Amino acid sequence: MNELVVGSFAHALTNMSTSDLVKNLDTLILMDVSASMSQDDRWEKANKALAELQAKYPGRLLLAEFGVGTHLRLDGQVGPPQDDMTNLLSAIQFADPYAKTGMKIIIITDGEPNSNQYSLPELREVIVKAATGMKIHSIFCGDDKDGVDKDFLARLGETSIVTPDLLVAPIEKYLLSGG
Amino acid sequence: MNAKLRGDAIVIQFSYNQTMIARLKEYIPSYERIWDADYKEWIIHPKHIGFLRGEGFPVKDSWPSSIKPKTINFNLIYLGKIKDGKAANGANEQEQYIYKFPADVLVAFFKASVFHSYYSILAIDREANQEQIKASYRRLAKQWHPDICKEPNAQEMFIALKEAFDVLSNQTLKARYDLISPYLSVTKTPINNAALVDWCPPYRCGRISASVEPFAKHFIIRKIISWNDITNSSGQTLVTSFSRGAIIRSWN
Repeated sequence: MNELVVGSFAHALTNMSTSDLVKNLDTLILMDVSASMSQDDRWEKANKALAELQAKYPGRLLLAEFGVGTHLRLDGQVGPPQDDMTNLLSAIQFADPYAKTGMKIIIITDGEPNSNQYSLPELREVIVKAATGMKIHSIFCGDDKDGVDKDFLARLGETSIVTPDLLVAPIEKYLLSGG
Repeated sequence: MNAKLRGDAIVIQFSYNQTMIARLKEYIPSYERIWDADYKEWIIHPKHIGFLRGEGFPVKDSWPSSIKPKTINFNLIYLGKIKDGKAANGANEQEQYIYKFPADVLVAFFKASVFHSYYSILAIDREANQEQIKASYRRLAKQWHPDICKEPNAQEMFIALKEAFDVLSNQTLKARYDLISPYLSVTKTPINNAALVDWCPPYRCGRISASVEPFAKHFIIRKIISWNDITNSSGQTLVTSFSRGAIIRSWN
C-alpha cells in the first residue's frame, strides 16, 4: 500500500475515535480510473486535488475508484489508471448503501460509461434508474469533444464541468452545501 | 511417577522435576490442570491422557479421555480477566473461583471475533433491534459505572459503552458503522491470544446457563447458553463487579 494521505479514512483511523469517524464521514467520492484518465496527467491532478481536500477535511471523505469494478481506497489516493472499462453502473451500485446512510456521493469521470451488458443509451437509463433517490454530484473532467452526454450527467444530479486541476472548488462547494 | 483415576480426573504425582512442570504448563491449559499443594499432586483433565502416557505416566487404556458435559444454572458473582490469553476465572457466592471460562468460549459468546466492535462491547448481535441495544447498554452501564465498578478499567469501559451506544442507537450512524466496520481493523488491534490478555468480557456477573464439565470441584465452561441479570427477592439487579462478602451474601 502507498503512504497514507493525510486526512484519508485510513489516516483518520489512527488519530480519531471510531465514533467521531462514523459521525464525520459524510461524502463518498467515486473516481474514474479508466485508461483515459492517464491522459494529460488527469489522474495525477485529481489525486493532488483529493489530497488537498482530505487534508483540509480529515475523516470526512471516503474514496473509491471505478474501472472494471469499484472498490474503496482507504489510503486516500486512486489509480493508477489501467482498466479498459468505465463501469459507472458498478460505482452507482457500490454507492447506494452509503447514500442510504445520508452520505453525499461525488462522481469524477472523464468519459462515457460503458458496459459489456448494455448499449450506451440503455446503460444511461439503467444508471439513472439505479441512482434514483441518491444525492449525487457528478464532475466531468475530460475533453469536451470526447466527453459524456451533459444531459445524462444532469439527470444524475448536480453537475460540474471542469479541468482536472480545478477539481477542488466544485467538490468543496458541494461538501459545504449541506445537501 | 504415579498416576491414578479420581472421578473423571487423572491425578499424578512425581518427584520435583522442573522440566516436567514446565512441560505440563506448556501443554495443558491452566483451566485443565490443578495443583493441590496439600497432597503435592496434579489433577489433570482426562483429555490429556495421551500426553501423560507419552511423558511416561502409568495411565491405563481403560481410563476415560473425556468428561461428559452437563447443563447447569449458576450465579456468577464476579468474573476475572482472561489470564495469559487462556481463560478467566469466575466466583460463586462463597467467593470461590470454581468457574473456568476458556477464552474461546467467551469470545464465541460475545462474538468478539475480529476486533473490539461496538457490537461486542455492548454484547449484542448485529441483528439486535433498538430496544435490545438500549436494554443492553443500560444493563452494562450499570455494571461498569465508575461509581460502582472497582475494575481498574471501569472508566474506560464506561466511555466505550457510551460511544458504542451513541452510534448504534442512531439508525443512520449504525448503518454507516455497519458499512465501514470491516475496514476498521486496518489499524485497530485485532483480538488475538495476546490481545485477549487485556480483553475483559463485558458482563461482570450474572445468572448463567451453561454446558460445563465438572472437573475436580471446578466447572469448565464449554458453552454459554444464556447470561441474565441476577436479581434479589426485592427485584433489585446485582450490578457490582466487586466480590466482597457482605454485599454478596445479601444476594444469596
